[in-house]
Amino acid sequence: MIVVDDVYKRYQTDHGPGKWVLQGVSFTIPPKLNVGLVGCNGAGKSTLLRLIGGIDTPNRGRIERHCRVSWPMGFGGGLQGSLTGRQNAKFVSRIHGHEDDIPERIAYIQEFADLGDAFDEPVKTYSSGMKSRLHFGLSLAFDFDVYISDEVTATGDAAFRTKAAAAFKELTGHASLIMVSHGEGTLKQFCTAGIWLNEGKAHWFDDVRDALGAYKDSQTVSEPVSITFGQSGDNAEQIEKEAEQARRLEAVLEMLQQGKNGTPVCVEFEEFKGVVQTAKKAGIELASEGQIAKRGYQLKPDELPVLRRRAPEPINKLVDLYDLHTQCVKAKKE
Amino acid sequence: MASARTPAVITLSVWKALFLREAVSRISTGRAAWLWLLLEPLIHIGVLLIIFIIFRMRTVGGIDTTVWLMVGMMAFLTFRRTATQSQNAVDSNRGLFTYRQVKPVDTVLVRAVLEGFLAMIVALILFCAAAFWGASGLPYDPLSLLEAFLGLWLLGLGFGLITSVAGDLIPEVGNVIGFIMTPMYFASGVIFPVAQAPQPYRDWLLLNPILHGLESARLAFSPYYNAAPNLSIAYLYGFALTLIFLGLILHVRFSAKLVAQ
Repeated sequence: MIVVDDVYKRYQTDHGPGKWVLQGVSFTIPPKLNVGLVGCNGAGKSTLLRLIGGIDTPNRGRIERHCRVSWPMGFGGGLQGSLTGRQNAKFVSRIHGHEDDIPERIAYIQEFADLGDAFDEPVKTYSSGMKSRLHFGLSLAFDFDVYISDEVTATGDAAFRTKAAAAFKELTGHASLIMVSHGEGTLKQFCTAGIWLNEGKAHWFDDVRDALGAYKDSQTVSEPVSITFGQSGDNAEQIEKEAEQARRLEAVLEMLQQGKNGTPVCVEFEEFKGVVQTAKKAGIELASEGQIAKRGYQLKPDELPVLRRRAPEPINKLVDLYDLHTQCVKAKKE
Repeated sequence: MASARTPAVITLSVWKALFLREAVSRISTGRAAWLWLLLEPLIHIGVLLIIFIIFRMRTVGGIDTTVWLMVGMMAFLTFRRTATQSQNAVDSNRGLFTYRQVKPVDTVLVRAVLEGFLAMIVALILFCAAAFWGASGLPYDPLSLLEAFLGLWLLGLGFGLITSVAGDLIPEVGNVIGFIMTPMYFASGVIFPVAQAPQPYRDWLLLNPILHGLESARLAFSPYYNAAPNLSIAYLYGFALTLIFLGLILHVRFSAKLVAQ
């Protein structure tokens, strides 16, 4: 069982104390329960894992670990570059009190990490994927009650991910997981409960899907993108207009890419026949409000289509307008 | 895995693991890293010896120049290597604090012990080689020699404990120490006999605990040496233990801050 009680954490910056990363976080993780941590970048997920892992101390509040907790795997740290994978493995075995059965541990790590000859090469020559293989193998070689994983599988290849998934599955029953992942599938696959970190607060959900839902709701764009196309005209103008539309769409695409991953973005059109073509070329799906976009969807002239990225779920919020059109006009005049 | 290891057991296993790891990287990284451990004092002594020969100084303070230089240099290096290596211990092992079993103070202590070992081995090799080729005799009072070296090592440890914390919290400290070390080399009487310094400057120089260690070591090696007066090995030990005490306090106080990123 892990008890996190009213924990506050902030870091020292070059100009005085920074802003609070965690503000009064409290929860209790019961034994044998897999928990997924969600929240946007900088919400304090890794900080919380470090605190739970005991490698950092909270400014206020307390954390109690009534079980054996692994170190947070997936961090860059913990491996010394100038030493080989084998030497690093020996070191970790020793500090965890496995002086006597180093050969067995090493054999397990070697087999799991599957690095081949690289196991006897200095770690600084490893790729990031190889490092995470070693890291993962290292932590699985020891019996912990709780394993802490910070995006450890993110850099591995497909074969390794499958292996890691199998290893995680095997753990259920005698050990639990606390994991941070931006992969929704991974979280749903392994975690039962979820914690959503937002603005320094932690929200506990008994079902990880609710946590993901709350997280996604908070992620709806605050700065929506909208283009108003329209103004009928003759043929010569039409060509000019289509070119203009293409340019605007590119601008929208750019904004979409800068936006958060998987975020639905709504763009309203007054007229869109040409837009559909351009959009298809640009890899954007067009859909009416509330409908799931699919390839070749036909828009009716009087409908307001919604431009969105390929997100797995339908849009539930239509956002305010942001008139890019006026910006384009302004830019042209200048 | 044992259900619950006591803190002492954990610390001991961490020390052992760190020691082996440090030893491997200190001795085996780079080409013939171990050779340089031996060559550094050898070259130092050699160069200085040539200078002394040019000035026709066969003896210093009544003993052979080779012995005087060799013992002084090894004693000083014992202090300096321990101090600088343990000063950098926290920084170079930062990645290891991912394992909560490893505390910053562990890395400093382990490095100091490793440097102590290495200094002992290098000194033994040098002294034996010098005795073998007739450049010097065997030490007259080995126990006092050990006492002086141990004192200097403790001083290096205390120095390293303090600077490892201070250097991390106030980066400028590193610069200051960098330019203090060179005058220290002269003020410790490595290359000139302090006994010949005029008053009141000699008394000022004698405030430096390293000097006490160096002169005591030379005196232990050959009893006919005209050492600086008022030598006190107790002063060296008192100084060293005070520094260690202060250093440990700093580590207790700022341990969490050193680990934080």
